[in-house]
Amino acid sequence: MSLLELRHVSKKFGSYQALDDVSFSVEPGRIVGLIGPNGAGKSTAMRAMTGLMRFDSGDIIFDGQPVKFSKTKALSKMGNLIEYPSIYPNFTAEDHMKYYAMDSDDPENIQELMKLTGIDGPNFGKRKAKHFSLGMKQRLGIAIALIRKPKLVILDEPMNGLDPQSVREIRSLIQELAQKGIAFLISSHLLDELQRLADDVVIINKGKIIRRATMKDFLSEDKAEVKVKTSDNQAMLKAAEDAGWHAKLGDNDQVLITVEEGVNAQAVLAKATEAKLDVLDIQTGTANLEEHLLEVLSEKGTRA
Amino acid sequence: MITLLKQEWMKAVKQNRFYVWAIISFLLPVVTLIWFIPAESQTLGYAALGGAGIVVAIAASVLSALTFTQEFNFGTIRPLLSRQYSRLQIFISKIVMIVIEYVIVLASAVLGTLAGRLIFQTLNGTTGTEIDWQPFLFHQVMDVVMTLFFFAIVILVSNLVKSSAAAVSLGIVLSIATSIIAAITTSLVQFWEPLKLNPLTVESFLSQFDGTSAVNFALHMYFGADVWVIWVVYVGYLVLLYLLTFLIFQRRSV
Repeated sequence: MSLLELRHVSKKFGSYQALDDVSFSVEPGRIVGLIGPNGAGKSTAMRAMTGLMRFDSGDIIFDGQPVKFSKTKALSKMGNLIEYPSIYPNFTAEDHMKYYAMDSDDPENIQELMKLTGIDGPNFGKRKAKHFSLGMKQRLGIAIALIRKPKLVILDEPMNGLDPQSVREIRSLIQELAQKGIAFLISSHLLDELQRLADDVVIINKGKIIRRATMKDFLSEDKAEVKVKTSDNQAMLKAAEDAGWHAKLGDNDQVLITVEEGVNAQAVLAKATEAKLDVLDIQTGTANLEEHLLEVLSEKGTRA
Repeated sequence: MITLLKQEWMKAVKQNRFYVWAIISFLLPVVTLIWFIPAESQTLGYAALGGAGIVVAIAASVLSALTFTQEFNFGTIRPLLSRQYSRLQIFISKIVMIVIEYVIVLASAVLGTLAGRLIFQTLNGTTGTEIDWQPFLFHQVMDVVMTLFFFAIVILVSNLVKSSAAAVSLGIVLSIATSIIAAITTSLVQFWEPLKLNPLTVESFLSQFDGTSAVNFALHMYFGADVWVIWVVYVGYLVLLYLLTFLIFQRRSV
């Protein structure tokens, strides 16, 4: 049974269709990346899931209970960090933890969670949150999202403002918690990071879900390419096409040839030599979420 | 509800430091009554809580305006609402906490007034320091009751505009100008009789209520109704204002 399920959820702001028949689900222990361009509907969907916004039609079920606009008991088992960390400037990190821990009968151990999220050090201590950097606020926001021992954590741009070391620590933390059965729904523009982190991917654009897949399946759709620059790229392109390969002229004065069975860098080199072309540069690219996402968005003709 | 009240209390103390208002409200009458108000004016000074009355009014304005607007300004409105509680519970917890904070600030001003009086008596003797306890305490209770109306307007505006500055400004203007506005509307009553039942006039006249037959008679003469009817109208306005404010709060997507 899904932990979170959106069924045909739609929402209009005036004439603007922010969510259009959105359906997807999040299973326990899975890390789901919700991705799409700016204004695609990610935050709107997240606000609807957390009971912060009315939606026009459809259902959102979390932990077996419908999520309603005003009151949803199940929300006690959902943590979230939407758009930016919400903090009380005169509270310390510990004050925040104590404040939000009151919402749960069985909260996480405050000191342990602070240590786990790295907000227990001398930089935090008794300092008021108004003096925190964006990265520190972000860590605090994540700690707050976890304090109620949630079954699902919704994180909107959780890596914002974090340095590479912190990004790595937060990634490890999320993976560790997912192994314990906590589900994560994460929206981020840092696609490399999502590629490392997410088990599943949901792509949304102009309020519509345009793809749902496991990250592995999604990336496997993205064929790796051999990028070759020769003394005559037009001739190289013709030679590749004559051989029945999928090839095209790319930006940067290159020919892009899709890697398939029997088609790899060595075969391309051989073909260039056969066509008496000088190879100036050759690279093999691997599957990449960002590039494939852009491809999917353009395929659908929905790219913003 | 208890959890929500505890959380509001934590914000009142740690975030808004409402106790600063309580401390000022305590110290101001002590200072003014001992050093600045002569024996012949002491009784009047007690009625004005040694000058702390205005501090209490400003505190009421600031604290009530902040309670909702700061959640929007800090972005904490989202975690506040995306919890297992209903918006009605959250709304009520905030109103209750404002009243608690106000009562504490007012009580500090009263205690400061009494402390100032005591010290003044010790230094200068008891001449001129008489207090008619019943009306003095009755006035404080009335102050709390009438401030509920003031809170309702400030909270209504703060929910509409989501701006602390606008709500605080309005609160301060209201705390000073209510009687002026009421006087203007009262003068307009001659053109249209039902205008006398407008909320500001009702609040302004009812705030004079002290339980004496003279005031009861005056209220009866002006409104052409028994005092209890005027109270019912006042409570009706309160319910209407809080209901309207709640509906705005309840419908707001964040």
